[in-house]
Amino acid sequence: MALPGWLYRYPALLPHLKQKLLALAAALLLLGPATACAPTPSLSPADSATLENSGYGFIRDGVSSRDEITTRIGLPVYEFEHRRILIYRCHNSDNLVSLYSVGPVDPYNPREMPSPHPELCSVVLVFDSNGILAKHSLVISK
Amino acid sequence: MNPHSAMPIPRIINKIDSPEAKSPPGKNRPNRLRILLLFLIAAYLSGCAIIPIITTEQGLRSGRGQILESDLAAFEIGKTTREEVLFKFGEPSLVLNDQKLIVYRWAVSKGGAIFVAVAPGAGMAATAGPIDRYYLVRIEFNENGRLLRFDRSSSIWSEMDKKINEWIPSEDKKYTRTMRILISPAPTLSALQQDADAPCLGVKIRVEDFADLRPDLEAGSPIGKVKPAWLKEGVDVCTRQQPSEVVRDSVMTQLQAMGAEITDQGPEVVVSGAVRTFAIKTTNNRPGWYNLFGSVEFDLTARHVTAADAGVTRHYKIACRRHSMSPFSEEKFTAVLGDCMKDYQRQTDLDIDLIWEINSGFVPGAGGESP
Repeated sequence: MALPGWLYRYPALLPHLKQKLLALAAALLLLGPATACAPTPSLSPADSATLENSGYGFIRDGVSSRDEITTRIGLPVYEFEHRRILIYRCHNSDNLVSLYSVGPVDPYNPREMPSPHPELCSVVLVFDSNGILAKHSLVISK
Repeated sequence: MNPHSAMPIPRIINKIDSPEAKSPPGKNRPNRLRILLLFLIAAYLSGCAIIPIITTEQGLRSGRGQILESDLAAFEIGKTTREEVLFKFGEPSLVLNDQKLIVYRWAVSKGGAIFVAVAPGAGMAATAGPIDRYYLVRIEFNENGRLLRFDRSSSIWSEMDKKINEWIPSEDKKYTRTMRILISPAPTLSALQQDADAPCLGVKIRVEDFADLRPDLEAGSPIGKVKPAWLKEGVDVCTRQQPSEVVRDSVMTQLQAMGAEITDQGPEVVVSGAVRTFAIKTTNNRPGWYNLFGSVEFDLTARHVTAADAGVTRHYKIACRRHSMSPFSEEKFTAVLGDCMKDYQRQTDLDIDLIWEINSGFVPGAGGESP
């Protein structure tokens, strides 16, 4: 490994430095994954057809009932405002989403995702006072 | 020779700092190399050094995705509703203070740092780690679900748990990052799979809910605590299912493997049980080597529906051990409790008296034949 010319004026350093620079280069390689040039995905609503194309055609505004949806999918991860708003977690792969029930949030441990999960998405369902789906949204990272 | 005495460090530093040593504009590469070497020399002298390499923000290090300032621009205090926020950003990272405070957080990569440790005469070790920038969006609503206030902040040093709590006035509702490991020990089938030779083939069995007789029991209470010496506070280990359900599932699985039919309709045998111990313990004999102990103790009673007073009772007390390099291995905790349940299943496979009792129920009143 070539070192800058001025260093050769200090021969006592050379044997140590060459070996250390190699170790440093190895550490720099380790840094690669951490500093890899990857864009940061943003949370944003997805095309409403994505859910239907993924086999969730039964989630239809003005038609589906809360009971029907919870029976077919399971318990949502979050319920707000006396079950008027339900949130389901889903997995997004190439615009094909799959909803799954992970059950409600553990009251002893608010659920957080410590590792990056840009593939995880959310389905937000808003019901009217009769328990019929008023509107829904699919939020993905892109 | 003392290597330190041979190094004219001040001269090198002077040389680097001197104006003539500076590179011409646009050619700063030699300077960077010199700075790097300076770090190395500093590491050599002081024993260790941290070399930060700060880059532009990129990639996602935790969370689901980022929320930009522009995403929040449309929010209006007193007008925007919780529904609109959730509709736009989906599942929050945290929901606190009776759903009045919603938190989204994520982290992005901000480069990395190289940690260099030098022991004179013994050489040098270098490793690298990421530097993250943590982002936090706090959104607070009033009693009517209307936006009260919101902000977006970031820090390179902390995940800002304190900042979250600034907006929670009530002490008992403050957010605390629970150090907790959740495991799902699942019953495993014994080597004895259901086949024509299964010893309890066709016996209808109802398995009642198991009682939980563990002392000092509270819902969600941990089954153990891991506290390595270097950690200030221990980490609780909890099960997703109640331990009594885990044991009951194991018993049901084993009975099914023995050929029994688990049903609530017209059972011939009723099995009940009570869990007395379901615990995890860790010991650390030497650095990086942990012993994980699992212990399960429970009672099991099988009785005929026609002879409620009769029946067989078993007391199982099982302890298993596994090794782990990490004290926080969910997989190993799950496995060591799985080992305990497997041991119970092995014991049942060989328990002729129990099998006899269960089969006696298959022919009500007949007293049963030897299986």
